[in-house]
Amino acid sequence: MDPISGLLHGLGVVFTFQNLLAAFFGALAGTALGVLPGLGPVAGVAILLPITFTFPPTAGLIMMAGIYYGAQYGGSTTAILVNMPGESSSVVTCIDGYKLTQRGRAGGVLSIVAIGSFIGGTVSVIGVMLFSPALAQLGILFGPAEFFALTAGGLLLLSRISGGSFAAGILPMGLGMVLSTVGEEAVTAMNRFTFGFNDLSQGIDLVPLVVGLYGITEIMFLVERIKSQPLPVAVRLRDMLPTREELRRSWAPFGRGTIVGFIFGLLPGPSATLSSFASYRLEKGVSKHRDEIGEGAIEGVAGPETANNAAATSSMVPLLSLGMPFGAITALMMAAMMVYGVQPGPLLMTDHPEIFWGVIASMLIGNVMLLALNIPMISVWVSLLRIPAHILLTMILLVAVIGSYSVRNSMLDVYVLLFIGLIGYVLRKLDFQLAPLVVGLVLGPLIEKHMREALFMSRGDLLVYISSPIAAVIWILVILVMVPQIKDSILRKLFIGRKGLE
Amino acid sequence: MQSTQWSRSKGYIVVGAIGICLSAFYLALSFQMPMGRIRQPGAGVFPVISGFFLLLGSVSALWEGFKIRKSESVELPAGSDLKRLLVVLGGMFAYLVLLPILGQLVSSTLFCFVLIRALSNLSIWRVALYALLMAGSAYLLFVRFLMLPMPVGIFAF
Repeated sequence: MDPISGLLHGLGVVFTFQNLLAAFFGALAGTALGVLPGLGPVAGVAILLPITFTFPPTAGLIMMAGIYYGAQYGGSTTAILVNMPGESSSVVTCIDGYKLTQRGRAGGVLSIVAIGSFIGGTVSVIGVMLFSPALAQLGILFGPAEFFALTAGGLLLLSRISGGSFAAGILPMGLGMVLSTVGEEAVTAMNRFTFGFNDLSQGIDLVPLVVGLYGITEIMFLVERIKSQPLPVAVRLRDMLPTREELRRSWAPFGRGTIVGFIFGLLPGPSATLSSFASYRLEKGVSKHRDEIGEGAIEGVAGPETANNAAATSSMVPLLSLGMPFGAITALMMAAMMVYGVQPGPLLMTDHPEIFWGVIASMLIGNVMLLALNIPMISVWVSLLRIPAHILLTMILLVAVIGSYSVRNSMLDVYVLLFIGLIGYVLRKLDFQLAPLVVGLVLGPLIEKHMREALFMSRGDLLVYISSPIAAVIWILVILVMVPQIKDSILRKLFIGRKGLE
Repeated sequence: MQSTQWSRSKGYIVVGAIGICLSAFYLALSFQMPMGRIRQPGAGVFPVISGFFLLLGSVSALWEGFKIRKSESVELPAGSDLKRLLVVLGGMFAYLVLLPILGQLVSSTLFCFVLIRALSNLSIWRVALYALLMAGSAYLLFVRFLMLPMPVGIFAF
């Protein structure tokens, strides 16, 4: 199926009442979760995951995608109005966005963000349409050794480029891999590390782990500083019109942000966050008004916000075409597909075209819904920020517990939620990265499967991992990215070790 | 926010040391599993690899802990902020213990009561009203409407 026919097929899938409702509810819930401080897109998707299981696979995945890009937009509202990012990809938006709010331009800036998010998301969908089938065709050539290189290499890359020191990425990655080995092993059905608990034989579930790591941890941070949260300024619908000057200055950042975001979405790592920082740096470098950026320039908001939505969309490419989740949210979507009995990867396009093209087409529709939801409903989103913390935090904790329990009807999952929340709190306080832990848990079983299959099929030849051209190219790319960083890290420690790490 | 400073270096050393102990224990268990043969690896091979990555990360954390400048610190809550955080965590722990015994509706109401009381200055009657409303609406939405199965406990709801 060529991309145009595929998109038409996908639009046919989306234009059913159930799927349109799923896209609408996803965009709505995602925006609300993004606006609310306390639940970012990752924890939001995780909490709502059990609800998506009540839908058929296509509708469930459409809803999850809607929550993801809806939350990207919602996070910027909080950043612009109260100088507090709803999630990490909106951190740079605070810098110029809040300064513009202080000058009375909050409404105009929110409209620019909505337009930029729409452009970034929509153009990125076209890229996804063109790239995914081509990558899936390449993926058909992959065998166990190539998939091992892709999954193991991708995880190593993620742990190194997520930010922070060497230990800050590798330790959580190792912990995620270790947790992935708990439960019944796939080949011989041997129970590993269950210590006699039957509930553990199903392994550690992703939902309580992600909600604990991102949701409970964030709530603990909010409870600490509960009295110092500012109230948002009021924004009326008539304030939402951007000036001609703001629009004129935003077109170039929209274009640059879309390209930057799309490229970052294809790479391992927290793509939405990295793309927003990269776009901000780019605007500071090339914009005609670069001197104003940092002091309240529209370019400092338009570029990054376009980029993070474009990245959220294009991060679907590796998931849909190779079955490779390069971030925590796509890892959750992959886990959901497995629950539905759908194997993400190169064969998804031929085995389940309704899911492959349905999810892609839903992003196109979802972006229109997002635009329609965000500008007229701005006062609703602002009012969400006025919900008292004692109501908001209590409700989030309640939903987190219900969501975690309901996945497998197991109290063990609820205990995991609290325990992982405490671990996440400590790790976040010390600036360890959390995404490698989540992706390690999801990719661990796949890495093991491909590793064992490759050895079995090659009759124990260890060179199988690097003998095929595709696997060799992947490992060379991994080494090229890893080695300079390791080298730099060692040099830095050797030369400034006494002065301390930056 | 009332806070106290704790050395980041100490934090890394503690995390690294705990990680080393954990990975040593995990590796000891992994080596007891069947390793199989090179052409047919057993169930213990991947845990050994995973354990070594955890060990590598833990040793790196310990090493970085010794190299981090002593003046670098982590902000931890203190005073009333710490008390509030501990009440929330204690409330959550109690909620998890009571959930299978008292059921979702009753334990959630108690949990909401404790949390709202800890996080606000509202009167006890308003706290009780909010707790009932929140737990009741969560029960209606998730258990009755979305049919998510939750523990029923001794009260059978």
